[in-house]
Amino acid sequence: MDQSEIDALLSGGNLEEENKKQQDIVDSLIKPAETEASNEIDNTPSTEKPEKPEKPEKPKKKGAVMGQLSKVSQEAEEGTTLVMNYLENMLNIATKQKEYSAKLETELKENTLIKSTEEIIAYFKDSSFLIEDLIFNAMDAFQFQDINRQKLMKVMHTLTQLNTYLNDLLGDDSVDDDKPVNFGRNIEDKTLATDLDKENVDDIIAQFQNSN
Amino acid sequence: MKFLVVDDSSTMRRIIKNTLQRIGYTDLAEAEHGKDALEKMDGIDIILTDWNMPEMDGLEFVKTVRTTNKTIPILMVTTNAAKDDIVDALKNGVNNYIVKPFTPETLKEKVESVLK
Repeated sequence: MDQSEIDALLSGGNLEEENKKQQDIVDSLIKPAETEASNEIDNTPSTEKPEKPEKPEKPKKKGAVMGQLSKVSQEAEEGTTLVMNYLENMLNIATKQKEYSAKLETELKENTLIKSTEEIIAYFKDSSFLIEDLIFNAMDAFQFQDINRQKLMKVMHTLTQLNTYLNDLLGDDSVDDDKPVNFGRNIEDKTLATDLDKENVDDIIAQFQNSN
Repeated sequence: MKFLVVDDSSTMRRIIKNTLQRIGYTDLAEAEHGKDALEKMDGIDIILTDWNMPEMDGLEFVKTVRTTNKTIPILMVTTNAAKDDIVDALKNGVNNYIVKPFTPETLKEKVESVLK
């Protein structure tokens, strides 16, 4: 959201309209990128002989792949924690804003109410609920982090097994892997879609309960 | 009503705790894994636990809890989505099951279901 939109919102604009405008801006930002991406695809068959692929660089130290994957997992957790802190602070502000609005409303009811004041209060109330909902949604979206972390750990586990196997086969005893990893065995692929298996899970639970 | 949220991911613990607070449950404790959770069981009325955790996983934790407490409601919140996993969890004393990622509505519905 840019400053003009924030100003429009602060000046008491309709929140639904503002949301629509925001979505339009997002859509307009997405569409050119998609067009550019599709322009990059060249379907013309190439007559040139493909170049021989370059041999990858030798890793600078042992266990580089595992180390990198481990870092990705660790940094994703740290980064998400940081964003969660920001979001929780915003949530506290929104909650406080709601409390103040309610307090102001009570106090004003004891005197003469001015129409514009009522509108301001209504606006602040609506916006607070909206902000709160958005923040909760953003927090829920971070479930992907835990799922991705487990996927990375699954990769690490597979690589470790492969590494161990190759070292056993080739006689290199430099593997250091006493830390067990924990990951889901059947992780849903569509990380960002929620409740994919809800109905299935409920069915299974019902079947289990009926059989007992 | 005191909840114990057990998950090795601090992000997941916070997501679950924030959702529970929003539903209206404010007395919340948390633990990083099964062993940690066993030490924090005093005064707990309901458990929400992940499955895949270091030290002691969720299933082992549930089995251990059930040796001494047959009645406390336990809700498994995990990425394990296979039917065998769900049945395994139920057989070992889990009352209900949520597959990650979940919506706040599902968490609310499942919590209310095990508290009935």
